[in-house]
Amino acid sequence: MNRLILLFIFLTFKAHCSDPTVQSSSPLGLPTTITDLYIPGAKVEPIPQKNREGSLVIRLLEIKPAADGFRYDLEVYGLDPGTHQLSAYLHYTNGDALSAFDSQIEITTRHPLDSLPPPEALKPNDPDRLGGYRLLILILSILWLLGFLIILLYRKKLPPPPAPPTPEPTLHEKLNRLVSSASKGDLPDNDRAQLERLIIGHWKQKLPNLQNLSPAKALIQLRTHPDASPLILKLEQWLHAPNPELTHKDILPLLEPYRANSKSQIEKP
Amino acid sequence: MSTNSASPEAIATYLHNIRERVGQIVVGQDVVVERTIIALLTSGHLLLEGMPGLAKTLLVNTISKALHLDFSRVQFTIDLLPSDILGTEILDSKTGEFRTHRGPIFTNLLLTDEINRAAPKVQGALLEAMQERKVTLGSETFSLPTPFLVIATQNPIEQSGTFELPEAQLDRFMLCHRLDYPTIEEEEEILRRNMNLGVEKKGDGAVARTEFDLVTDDAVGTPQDLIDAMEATHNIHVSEVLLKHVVDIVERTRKHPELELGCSPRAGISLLKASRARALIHGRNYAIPEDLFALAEDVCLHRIRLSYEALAEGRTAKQVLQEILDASIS
Repeated sequence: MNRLILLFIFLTFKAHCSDPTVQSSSPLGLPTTITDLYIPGAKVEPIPQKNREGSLVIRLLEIKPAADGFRYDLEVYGLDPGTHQLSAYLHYTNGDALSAFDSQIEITTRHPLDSLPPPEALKPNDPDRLGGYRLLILILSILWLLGFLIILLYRKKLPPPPAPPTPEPTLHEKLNRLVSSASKGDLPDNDRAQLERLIIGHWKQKLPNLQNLSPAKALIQLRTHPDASPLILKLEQWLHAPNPELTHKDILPLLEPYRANSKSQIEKP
Repeated sequence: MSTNSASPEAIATYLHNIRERVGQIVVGQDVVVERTIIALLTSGHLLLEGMPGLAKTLLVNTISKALHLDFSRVQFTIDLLPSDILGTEILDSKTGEFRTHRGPIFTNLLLTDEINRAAPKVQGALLEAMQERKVTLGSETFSLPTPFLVIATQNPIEQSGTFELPEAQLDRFMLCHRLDYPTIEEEEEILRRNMNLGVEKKGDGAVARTEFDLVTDDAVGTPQDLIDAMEATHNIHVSEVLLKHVVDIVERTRKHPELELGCSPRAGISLLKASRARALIHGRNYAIPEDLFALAEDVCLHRIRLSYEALAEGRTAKQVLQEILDASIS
């Protein structure tokens, strides 16, 4: 390695000394920059590579004028190990070869030369299909249009709009139904409970000073209210007392005003 | 229905006397007194939510003396241990044997101040004892005295550094009553009474008397009176229609869209039991809807939990419960 470095320094030194015989080295596959390479005569340029057989790839970085020629900064990639003539890869801009210019570059490798595997041969594949894009766009457009027409012409018929929800029976409608059932004497416990709650609710709504009270506070007042208490207290006795003296027949006359067909009638119990 | 040895009039007089005795010491708070008696008659437990200085301790102390019951008070703090309440086994250096030291829970009336300040393990230990009415110390299990009533308090405002009771533990409290400040008239009466307390001379010195000094040891009845009242509560008639009312309220809390947690079956049981006791206190031998509606908030409100959406909309459990009760009568 030290020898290679020394050799590189020596070659660089030689290049700077404008010696037409240039020698340089570079590791295989890695770029090496050669600066101020003096080549007498007209401008030179890398010979375009038309195949993959070349051992060097040269890039021209900079051209600086010099006496009777030019100095060049080059970047060289070595593709094959060994010593190669730079002049074989350069020519004058008018196409003449650099016959008098002797410059060598050694492409080094750490591997023995015969042990390097040959590069994999490239097998360029032909693209499957090229072109036909306009045709494809046309086909897709037709398909999209057909789909759109199908949707327009055969679209699913919307289900009929749902029937308007049946309005919740009002407190008075519920009361009317329950009182009617009570008059027939077939009021189960659930309905009796609902009847009692609705009577309480009816009076709570009816009396303005009770509307904003909680049911508990409203009920305490209803039990002493001159209009509401007769029915409320008798309902309590009928529904909750252990041995009620009252029967549904005693309650019915009190409930009768609540069996009305309209709210206005109920409001005058 | 089992027969009751005491007449309804005697029981009514006994309960009236308790309220009257408490009224002599504590101004206002009639509802709290009623709720305490309800809890006592039904062997439930009572949680009081309210600000400090609302005479909670004085009230419980007065009731315990009026009923001739033992009374203990524990101030719950963060560093309280279960053994501080339940008791523990202590090694007696003289005998070299373990001796059982019973905690303050071995009493009839236990006032636990600021229950939400204690660590969950202490709350759990207390609530377990409340439920089972037994305490195990070491290898021995002790039954708690009868009657046994826990009256816990918690401050609803200051929540920092507290451990909120979970719903499962709140459910153990039969009633949760929210105390209000006294009315203006009551407040004036409180001040008037306090001004007239005077000074008590003790030996060579004297000390300003407090309301606690007014609490006398003479009871308004005997333990048998309390047992009779408890039996009478059990004998209060509950109609099928009232059962339907209870089920309707409980069911509505479970179906309400703004409630994540509705009332448990225990809530229905508590509502019915409390209604019976309230009916007895009001001199009836049957419960009526007024009892249910009057107690619904104290029985149900601490057992329901609002949904996240309802909370985000700024709704309160009290509003929702009020709507449920209103809807039940419309």
